[in-house]
Amino acid sequence: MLWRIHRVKLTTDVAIIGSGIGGLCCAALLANEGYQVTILERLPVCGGRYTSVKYKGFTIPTASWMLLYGKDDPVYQTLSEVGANEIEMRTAGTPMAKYRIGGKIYDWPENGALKYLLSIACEDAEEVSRVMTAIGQAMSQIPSNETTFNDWLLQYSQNEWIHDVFQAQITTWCGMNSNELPAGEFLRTLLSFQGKDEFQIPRNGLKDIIDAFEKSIKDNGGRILNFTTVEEIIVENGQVRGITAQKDSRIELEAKIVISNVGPRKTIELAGTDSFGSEYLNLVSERIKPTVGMDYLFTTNKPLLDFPGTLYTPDTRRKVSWSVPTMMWPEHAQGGKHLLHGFAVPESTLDYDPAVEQEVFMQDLIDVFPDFNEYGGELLLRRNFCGEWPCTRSWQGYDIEQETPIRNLYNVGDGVKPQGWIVGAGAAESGRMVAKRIMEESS
Amino acid sequence: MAIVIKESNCIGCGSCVLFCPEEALTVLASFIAKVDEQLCTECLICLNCCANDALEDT
Repeated sequence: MLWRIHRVKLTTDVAIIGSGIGGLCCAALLANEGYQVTILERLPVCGGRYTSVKYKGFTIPTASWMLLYGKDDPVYQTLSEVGANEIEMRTAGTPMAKYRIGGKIYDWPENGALKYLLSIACEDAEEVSRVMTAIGQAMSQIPSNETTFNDWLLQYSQNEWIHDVFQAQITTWCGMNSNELPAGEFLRTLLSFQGKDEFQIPRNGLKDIIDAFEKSIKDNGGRILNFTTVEEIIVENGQVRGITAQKDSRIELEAKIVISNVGPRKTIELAGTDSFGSEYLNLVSERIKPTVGMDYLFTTNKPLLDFPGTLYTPDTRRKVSWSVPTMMWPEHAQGGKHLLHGFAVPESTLDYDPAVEQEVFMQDLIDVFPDFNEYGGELLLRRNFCGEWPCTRSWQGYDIEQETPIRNLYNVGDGVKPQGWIVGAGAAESGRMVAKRIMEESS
Repeated sequence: MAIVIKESNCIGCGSCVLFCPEEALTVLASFIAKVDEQLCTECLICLNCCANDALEDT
């Protein structure tokens, strides 16, 4: 039988495995500086967990919802730097958030929000003052990451409600529990919000951001190959040489630099464990563990919240964040329907039963929204972000460096976030750092 | 021929649900994906989408 292997040989300056927001930020900056970049993406669309798709007529995020820091977000900054930042976005306005404490709902004030919320949670003014003073001091002298935030806070307060207010925030920001999150990272995250723009959401969700990145990269001569699965990172004498991939045919891509946006564990798998020393293999094995989250989308006939921001419920069984995205963009639903989004973290992110978590979540749902059934509430989508489709590839504060022991092989994304940068913003910042490093090294 | 969920691998992350062009996949309360064979065209996009190797074409 006659047959032949279809094989395509290509060359590029920079090969990027995966088109998550870290990879796209890195690619856009490098392409804008004249590097030829080639992105290989196994999915039909780019963006990974940082985009939105249409599902049953609704605009649904693949995971991330928003530009966390609005126009100050590293994602938006990157688009600005490459001249691709004409994105129509909206913000929640005032109040940006509300808190439900003891069954009552309170607006997040523009100033003095934390003290205000803690004062509602705890009647003992002295205890609130003690916590606020400790937070203030810790912001200028960041505590060690060796202590969890829960243990750090216990030094100043044993009040359950105070702890719950913080836990609600940690759930949403990090997909973790306060007894898992390093204390230093919580304080750095608090600081990261100071003086920054409010969160913003584009008209078609984060897809608008990803479209802008794709256009910029292609306009600068970059290639984006979807439906393309990378099979191997080729390493010779401690130096990266390229990759092999499978699309319609086998692709052999020679590259001076390879950037992996698929997580440090997968990077090792693709390059082969023999290419790395035991010290690095142990580091990745010990530190890179995904954060998890139970994510729900419901449709309703009327909006279940009266504002477009986030409702935090520290007083529910799991500390849930809720939003009605259609209050900001009615176009995200069809037929006059509304969306309700809920996100919670299991009690332990290392050991949990998703089915049990679902039962708890549904109880919380009815507690917070007793009109849910009356408003025609129906489940649209349930998700358990974990494993290879997690909230983030690494626990906050456990990320490793972007550089690898292999010359010209880097990781970007949410397994290698710099300290104090959370979720998508952290992934983006890692991509920016690697782009800067590459430019510095070649100048 | 049919798309089958490998239950031991499926974690219910829902990525296959969103990328299926026929909207033939759902995540059950057990957080295992399910294929609606009436809607599935076996385009195999879901196999490529799943990062946990939880789908196979039998």
